[in-house]
Amino acid sequence: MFGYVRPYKPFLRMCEYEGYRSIYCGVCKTIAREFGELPRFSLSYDVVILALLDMGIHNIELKAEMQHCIVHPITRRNIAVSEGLEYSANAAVILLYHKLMDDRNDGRGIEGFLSSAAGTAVRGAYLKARKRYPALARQVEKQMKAQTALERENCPSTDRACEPTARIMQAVFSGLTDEPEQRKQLGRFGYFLGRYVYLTDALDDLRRDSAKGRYNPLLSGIASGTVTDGDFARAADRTAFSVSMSLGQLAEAYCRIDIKMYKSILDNIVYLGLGNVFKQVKDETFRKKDKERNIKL
Amino acid sequence: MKDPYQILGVSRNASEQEIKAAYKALVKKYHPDQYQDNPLAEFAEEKMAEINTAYDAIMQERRNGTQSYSSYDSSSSQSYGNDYAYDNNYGYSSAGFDSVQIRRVISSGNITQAEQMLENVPVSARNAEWNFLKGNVAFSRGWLEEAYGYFSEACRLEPGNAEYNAALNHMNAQRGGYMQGNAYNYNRAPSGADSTLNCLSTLCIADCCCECMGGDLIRCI
Repeated sequence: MFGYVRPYKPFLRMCEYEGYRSIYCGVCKTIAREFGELPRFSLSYDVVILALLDMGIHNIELKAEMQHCIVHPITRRNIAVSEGLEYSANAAVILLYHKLMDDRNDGRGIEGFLSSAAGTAVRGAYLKARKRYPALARQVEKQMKAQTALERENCPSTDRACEPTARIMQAVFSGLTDEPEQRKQLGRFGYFLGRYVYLTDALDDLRRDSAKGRYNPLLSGIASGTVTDGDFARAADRTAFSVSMSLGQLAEAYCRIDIKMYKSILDNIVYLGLGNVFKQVKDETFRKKDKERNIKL
Repeated sequence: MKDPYQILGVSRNASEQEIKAAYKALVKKYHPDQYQDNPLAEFAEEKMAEINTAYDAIMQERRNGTQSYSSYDSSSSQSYGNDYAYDNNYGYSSAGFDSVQIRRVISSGNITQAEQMLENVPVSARNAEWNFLKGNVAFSRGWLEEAYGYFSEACRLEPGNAEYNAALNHMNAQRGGYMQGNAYNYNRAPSGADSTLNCLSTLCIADCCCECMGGDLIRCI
């Protein structure tokens, strides 16, 4: 996951914001406890939606405590200590390992070396998580291979390019429950969330991928070399349609998931947060620091 | 009301057996069980109601011995001669491939097999129905761009087909930013990609405001 799944902050209540942050910290601490300090440092906020759904469908009440943590050594933070964080922590470690391996494969020079070193360091943690959730790890491994193959053949179809990420997220979300009908809906939700993440990431990386000569499905039809502003705008418009359709499908699955708690935060992420992040990527403001300062009331 | 004979796709002088067979085939095709998690669920439901009403009407009519065609809307059935066979309209066998069979395979969830069957259809026989079924296969996979392309092509080849239009309209709504269950105010918070819906809701809200103040921005809303 890459940090594209987050709430739209201006529309969160203070208590929702506090709860959201405490769940993030809770997952992070769980990773530290189970896998050591190393894997926690690249944890993205994306993982919170998984933990929220886990708690929301299993009716787990959030409990948080003020605790110290080594990432923020001075102040104490509100950190979730309730159940429902363990699966998310494991899934995050599995995804992190594969992300590092993927970076190693297409990165060269210092980037490649760093991700390779981090990958080796995280390997122990990965093996532990894999032992715990073998089916999930297997599916992720399989889809990562498919991803590599697609990149090698320079696949021009965005539908097919999205497939591995979508299938990985399908596996991650359907792992939240054993009940068949809910599994199916969670899987569909995950599939289209994966599509959204992949497409958003592809657009976000369009200029960089083009400059470095990396594979990107949105580059098909764009002359190699530099991406002009016109090229970017055209690719962004095309991707916007695909993202909207994915979010439309995602919402259909979301409505069929039996969510008992935290619906308001989840609604915010699903209906506002995802679209907002894509809009920022499309306007190329996502990487800017003060993107959410300009608030209309 | 539309001509019930046209709805069932039988000619007016069809035997009762033929009518029953056509009715059964249509019920099978549009049964809600086959349309779970399908963009056409709502359409299928409407279609089922229509089919049932038409069947009841014909049966009632035949029992009473009265045939009051004049009350039916004949404009929509102009292409329908007295003894047209019914297979033109619904792609039964006329398409050069067995679309009913493929529809069954798709609704049973065997997407790979359906795809195989569609690939085996010769290029010359790839009509609107074929494109529509290809769209369904892509849609079940989650390959939305491909699905959109095939649904568009199906609608282009056969513009009047309600089923194809329903599928394309559904996708078009989502392309424009529609998300089921979205209770947020479109125009307040930033949303996905398109601004058509935003504009619409802004207008509606502006209109409501004006109405509160005694004026009216848009007469018809």
